[in-house]
Amino acid sequence: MVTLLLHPLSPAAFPLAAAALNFIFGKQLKAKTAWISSAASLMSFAVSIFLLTRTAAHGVMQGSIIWLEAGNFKITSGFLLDPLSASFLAVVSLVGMLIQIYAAGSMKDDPEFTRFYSTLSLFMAAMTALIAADGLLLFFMAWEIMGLCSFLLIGFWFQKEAAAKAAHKAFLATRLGDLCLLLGLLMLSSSLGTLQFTALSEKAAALGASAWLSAAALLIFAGAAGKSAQFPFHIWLPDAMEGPTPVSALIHAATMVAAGIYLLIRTFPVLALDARVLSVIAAVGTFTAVLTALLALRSQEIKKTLAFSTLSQLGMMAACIGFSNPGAAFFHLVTHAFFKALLFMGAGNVLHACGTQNLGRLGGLGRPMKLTSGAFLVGSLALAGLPPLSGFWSKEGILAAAHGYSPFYFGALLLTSFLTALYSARLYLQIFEGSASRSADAETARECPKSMTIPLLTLGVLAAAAGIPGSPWMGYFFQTFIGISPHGDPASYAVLAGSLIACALGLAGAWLSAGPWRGLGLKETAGAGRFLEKAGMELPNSAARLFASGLKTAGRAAACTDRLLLDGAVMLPGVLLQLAAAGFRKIQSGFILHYLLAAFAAVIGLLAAGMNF
Amino acid sequence: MTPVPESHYLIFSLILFSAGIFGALTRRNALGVLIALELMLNAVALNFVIFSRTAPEGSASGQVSAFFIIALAAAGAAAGLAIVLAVYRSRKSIQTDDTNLLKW
Amino acid sequence: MTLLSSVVFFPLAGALVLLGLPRTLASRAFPLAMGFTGLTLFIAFGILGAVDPTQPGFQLTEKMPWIPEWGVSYHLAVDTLSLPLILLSALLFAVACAASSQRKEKQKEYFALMLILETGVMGSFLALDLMMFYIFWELVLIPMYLLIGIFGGERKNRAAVKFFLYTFCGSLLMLLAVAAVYFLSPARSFDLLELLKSPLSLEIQRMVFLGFLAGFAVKIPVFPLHTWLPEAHVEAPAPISVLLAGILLKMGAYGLMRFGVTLFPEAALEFRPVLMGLAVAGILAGGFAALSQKDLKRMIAYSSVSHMGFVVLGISAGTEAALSGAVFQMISHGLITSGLFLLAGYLYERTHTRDQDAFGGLAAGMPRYAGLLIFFSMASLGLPGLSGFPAELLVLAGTLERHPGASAAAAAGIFLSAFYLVTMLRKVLWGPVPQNAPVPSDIRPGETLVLLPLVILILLAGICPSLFTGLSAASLPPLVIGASNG
Repeated sequence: MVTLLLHPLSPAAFPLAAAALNFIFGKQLKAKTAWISSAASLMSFAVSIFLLTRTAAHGVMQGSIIWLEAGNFKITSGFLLDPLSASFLAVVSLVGMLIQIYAAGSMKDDPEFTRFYSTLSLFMAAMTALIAADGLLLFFMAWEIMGLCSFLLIGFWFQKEAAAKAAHKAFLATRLGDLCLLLGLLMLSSSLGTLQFTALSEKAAALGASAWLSAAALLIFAGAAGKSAQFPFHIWLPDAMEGPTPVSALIHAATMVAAGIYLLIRTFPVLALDARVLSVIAAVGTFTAVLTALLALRSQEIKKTLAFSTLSQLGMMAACIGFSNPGAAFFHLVTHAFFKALLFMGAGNVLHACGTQNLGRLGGLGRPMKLTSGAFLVGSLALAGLPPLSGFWSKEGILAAAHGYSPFYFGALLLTSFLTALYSARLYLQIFEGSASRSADAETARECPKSMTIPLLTLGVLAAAAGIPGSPWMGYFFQTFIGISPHGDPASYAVLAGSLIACALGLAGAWLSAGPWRGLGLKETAGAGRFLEKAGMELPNSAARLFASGLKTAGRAAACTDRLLLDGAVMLPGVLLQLAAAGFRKIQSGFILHYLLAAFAAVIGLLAAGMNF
Repeated sequence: MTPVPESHYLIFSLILFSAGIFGALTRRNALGVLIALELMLNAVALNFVIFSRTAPEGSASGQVSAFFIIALAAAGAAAGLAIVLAVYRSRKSIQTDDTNLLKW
Repeated sequence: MTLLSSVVFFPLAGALVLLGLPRTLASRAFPLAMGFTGLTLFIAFGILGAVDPTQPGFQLTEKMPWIPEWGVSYHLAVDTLSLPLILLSALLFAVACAASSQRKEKQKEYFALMLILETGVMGSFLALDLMMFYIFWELVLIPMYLLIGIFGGERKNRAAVKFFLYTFCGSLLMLLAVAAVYFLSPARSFDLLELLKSPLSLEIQRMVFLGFLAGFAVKIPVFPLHTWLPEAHVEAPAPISVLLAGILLKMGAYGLMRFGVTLFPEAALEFRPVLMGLAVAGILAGGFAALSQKDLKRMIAYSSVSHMGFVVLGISAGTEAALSGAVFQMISHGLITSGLFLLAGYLYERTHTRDQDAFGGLAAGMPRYAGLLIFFSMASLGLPGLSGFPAELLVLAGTLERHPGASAAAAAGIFLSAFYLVTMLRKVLWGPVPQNAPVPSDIRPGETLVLLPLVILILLAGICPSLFTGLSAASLPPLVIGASNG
């Protein structure tokens, strides 16, 4: 019994049971559903800690069953517990638990409480199953279930047209990526004969590079780009902020969007076969990182800014994989989970207290909301990459990888770091500093209840400290523990200097723009900013709309062809037959003398014919 | 005196028969059609009598057939008149173009 | 009485009993019919128990000479291909019967026709003699015609006549082919096993295969012979659509496998590229056409065309994985589409419209219905964990080896189904409620109960697909097109 409870898939089983319980008994349980879900996450977290220690001591654990077999097509499904999945499990279940506790407070008055928690638990089950999966099949299945939960949760307040639209867009954008992933997965299966992660590196090395495998790798990247919202799939994430804040924190910052990066890490041996594939990944990631960091600067809503920020950070992680350093990407994934969830929860607190997330109407909340502002500050600084907070160490790893790859990309990512520091500090300053008299809402703000602040503070501690295990102060313990090589060239002073300068410049710039230089250069850059928004958001959005309407037109054309051409061809003989019959019918004139004539003519004809013989 | 050639009688019978056909096909009045039919039957009877002239001695089959045809014509006329009467009762007319319900 | 004959003729006996019911007992028609379909399901389970799934050949054979001078025999047998179809049919007939519990007028005739239909269906799945097969195949047409034509919607006559004539034309060509087989084959028999012993030459095979294909292609339906399907489905009442989509379409695919590919393997090999092309065309055309439909049932009908395209793709791809996927897709599609049609029917009953634009924000007033609609829609678009995914995965994987382009096109078809289904969900369930829209009542427990077996099976097949593939795997290898040629 105990071994069953401590099985690597049990962190998925607990939330699944919670989801089922909440779904079936939701009406009776009402508010208790939150505690059931959170308890399940707590148990998952406990088990994952145990599994983490066990992996550290005993090494890798795996197991699988044959899921589907037909002819020479065989697919297995099972679990893989190695340091990578064990640590990711711990992080995800911890963050999930904290967010579920948080949501108990922030969604307290929502009538659809139970539906929220059942879907959220289903999501946690899928995410933990994805992390523990040993091969692409279970991974893909959990991936899609997460997509379903995301769909249901973005559109949670479905009476809002905007939420329904956002959910629709998210599902279709990710589904497109998912189908690319499915094809890539099948291509891998047919050439490598297996979908298991551990086998990928040997089999891939044995086969060597080929057009088929490169195509499969690109398709897999397309799937990851869809889920992790890289350009041009990034259009769904900002709109997904229509969902409740805990959803944005959990799904669209810390976990689901990180699954794409996790996919790239796991399939890295295949991606690495072709340097061109890696260069595509690096390019897309870097481009997304820079573009969305610029867009984050322009955004006037808290959650949208954070969404763009997530896109940017994910871009950096994807680019890092392109630079052939999945370990650094994973480190940043972990720290990002902590501080981004923290920032979103802070945004949720602000929303809860002031009823608005428009930056123009906020300000000076630092005084009434001391806890929230303190935690938010830590999160912002971690995001900006200020040492010794976690973000600094992980970002340095990425910058080091970029430096080792190409000076151009290094420069681009330095620019991104600068922008990151700029917008994150600006965000903090605009919400929590300055005068409180900007709006009536801000005046009546009070600190949020404990259920909403305690998780925030916990994450604050983590955001501050979680980078230490991956820092030189602990000898890069985290990276060696994960065991994904290489873990970069950390001792480069150029990298260190670059990241510190970028961060400092960004922070200074934010402080200046909030204070002495407020409004400076706003008019000049307004044009550039608008152009950026057009190119970065409206263009892909229009392209997506064009694609959708193109599909709809093709649909109408297909239906028309069906009705007129194909159906017409079928109905044509019938119509012709009816016309002919209508013609022949006229012989029945009803006029007796005609019939008499016909009778006489027939007799004469028969006689003539008879006489001819 | 030279006997009337048979062909003259036959032509006469033919004229009667053609008149009968013409009448049957073109009369608008149903009674007219019946009269024409009678004319046709009588032409046929005349034909039989004509050929009985040149029949073998003692055979009276032609003339007997003529009697048959007269009886047949009477029966046919009776049946036809009964139908015309019934049609008149229901349609109030015996014009042939008025009885055209059985059409397309 | 032996199992196979009883599963075929028991419903017929039920139909006769129903027709003979005096008017005073007419209201008992539904419980009686439910009893008959339930018992048939029970017998089908008996067959499941009696069959050994690991054996590749025919089992539980019943063979008696019927018209020995013409080589016609009464030959029924089951193998692991027809077994899942028998079970699916028995289940769906019981479900359709249960879903018709609210019918008020002409109960006797309705249920009697349904039971005659069941006999025809069971007979065609089990018959191994070509003449018997043809008789049962045709037997299906008349009850379906009457069911659509009497109990259907506004344009029921047109739909029923079109369905009947179109299918009948195909069947006539098949009849010609059957006759040709009899006269041209040295075996001089209509029995499948006899005919297999003496194969035909390629020229004859081509001709005859085309004839058979004509009959099956209309039924499956293969693009472009599918235009009867949307009309028939829209006008038929929901439980009848369940039978039409869930079972009748599968008869065509089954026939293609059992008779078309088995008897004429070389011709099938020649036609394979054409079939694959038509299958892909059907997947995409059905998907695109479904996009633009306003009528809910019409959209589901076009999605059926699209899903059956996967079946044809699986049959024609020529690998065992693809074929396994085709059989899986037949079962999965039967379950999923039945659920969707029933849900559409429930909505229609309450609101008397099927127009998607008339609805909005239904999830607020009908939460359970919304949940079920989302469940079945997700199953239809192939969400993993539900039965559509393993089916489509197998077909895609099997086709990938043979023709990657076809596989990619089929995957595009999967995206299309996501597009139109999610668009439908958003329009119907979410968004604000329109001004004067009626708020329908939520789904009743009785209606949910009818859907429950479908839900359970879809989940089961999605999570443990090997249960189902293991059931049908044994007799699939010889049905792979090109198997004998390597």
